[in-house]
Amino acid sequence: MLKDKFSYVEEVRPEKGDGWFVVPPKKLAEVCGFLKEKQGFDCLSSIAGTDRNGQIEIAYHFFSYDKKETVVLKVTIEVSTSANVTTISDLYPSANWMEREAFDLLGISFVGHPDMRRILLPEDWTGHPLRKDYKEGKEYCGMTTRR
Amino acid sequence: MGPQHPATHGVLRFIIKIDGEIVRSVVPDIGYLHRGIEKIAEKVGYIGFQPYTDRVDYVSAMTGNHAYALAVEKLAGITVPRRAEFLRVIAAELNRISSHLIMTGCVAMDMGAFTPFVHALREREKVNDLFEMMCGARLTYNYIRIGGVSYDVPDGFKEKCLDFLDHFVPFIDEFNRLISFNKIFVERLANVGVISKEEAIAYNLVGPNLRASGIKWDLRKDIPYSVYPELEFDVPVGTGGAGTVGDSLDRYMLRVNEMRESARIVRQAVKMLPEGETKAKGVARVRPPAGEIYVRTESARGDMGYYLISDGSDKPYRLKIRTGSFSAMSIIEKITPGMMVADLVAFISSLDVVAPEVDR
Repeated sequence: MLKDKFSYVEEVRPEKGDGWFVVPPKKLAEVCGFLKEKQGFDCLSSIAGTDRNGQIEIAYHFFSYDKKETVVLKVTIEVSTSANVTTISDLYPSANWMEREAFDLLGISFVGHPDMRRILLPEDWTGHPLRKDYKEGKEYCGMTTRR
Repeated sequence: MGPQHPATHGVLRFIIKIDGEIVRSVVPDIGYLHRGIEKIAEKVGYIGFQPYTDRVDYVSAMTGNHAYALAVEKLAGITVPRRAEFLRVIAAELNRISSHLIMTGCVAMDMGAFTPFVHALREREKVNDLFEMMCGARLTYNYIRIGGVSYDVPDGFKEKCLDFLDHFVPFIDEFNRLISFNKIFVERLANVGVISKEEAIAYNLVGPNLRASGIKWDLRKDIPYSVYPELEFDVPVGTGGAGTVGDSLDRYMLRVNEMRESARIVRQAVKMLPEGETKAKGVARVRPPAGEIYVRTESARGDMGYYLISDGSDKPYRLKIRTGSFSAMSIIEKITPGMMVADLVAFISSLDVVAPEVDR
């Protein structure tokens, strides 16, 4: 139903595992609004970022309690200009913390997020650990990170 | 309210603004137990990661094992022997009982009644004895493995398990008489921290917290996995017994009722336990094909989702763990303004948040 409504949405159906829809980053809020208001996908189950060698892929898992269906949306952004994906925390309040987690661990900055701070790591931590090129510092605040 | 020392377990911190006894804002500060489990998964590989799934939620480690094993099996196309499926269900439901015992005991303790906590932990020790029989461990079991379970149960397990259930089901009534129907206790919890249906869905509350808000939703029933479709059980929902639907008392009573249902499931599963193998062949070097999968299971704290991306090697390319406690923590900021400080304690403990599961 997403492909009929939005011409720019691409569907991917691999042989093994789950399929997903690819959405351009700028159109994310529009598609999410449609899913929530028109299609009854009332629950955002998870937001997961993945480092794909220079690009970051963000997977959104939406779920509908009425239909018992899951829809996966994927957005791909360039690391260098990461600040081009908009927040969906105004549509889905649960996205607030999930986006903060994605920011903390992968360095994705969500435009329009009300409180874009680190959530799991300390505020003075350097780097984003789930990036594939992340190198852990030798020490943190004078404490060694080696055993 | 904050952590005492990094070495204490289960630490989390709240930055609270109060106006006399009235709470104006609560900002949870989490991350004290962040161990980078998702990063570790990318380093140690599928088999090596199994013990870490215990540590995501150590109060209910079996269900964590189960969720991870299901995700890998589903992507790799591994079929689990039937005996192992039943053993998994027995283990997971016993663990749900022991986890809910901690929750109910802790709520009572946070309300100032210490005795019920001791009673609950005494029963939990008996569940731990059963787990020790199954796998030798009492807290972090690593029992449910990819392809099956680590060991078959020894002789005498069935009898011991049924003995425990015969003793445990009457204990729930005793526990209710001891604390659940105590007038002071009920008044401390009823109408405190009411979460409406809409808020529960918007903030992605899951499991018992969602059901307490009046939504009859259980993954074991609605998107069944393992052998749950063959077993009979009910899904309790919040009724607003002494207050409003979705208050702290509902969340507490729901877990008491779920223990009864879990006991029912264990009894059936023990009686139906078939003979046969307990582990699939050829899983020692599991390499799921390139692709991705998102598997959700009903852990003691609700939806535990493993989002697994494989590139065809022996290590996950990315593993994201989505837990119930994380979303339960995020609703605290929304619900608490205007509450009394003493009610804040009741509200937080009724959400049954486990700190390592929040931080991972």
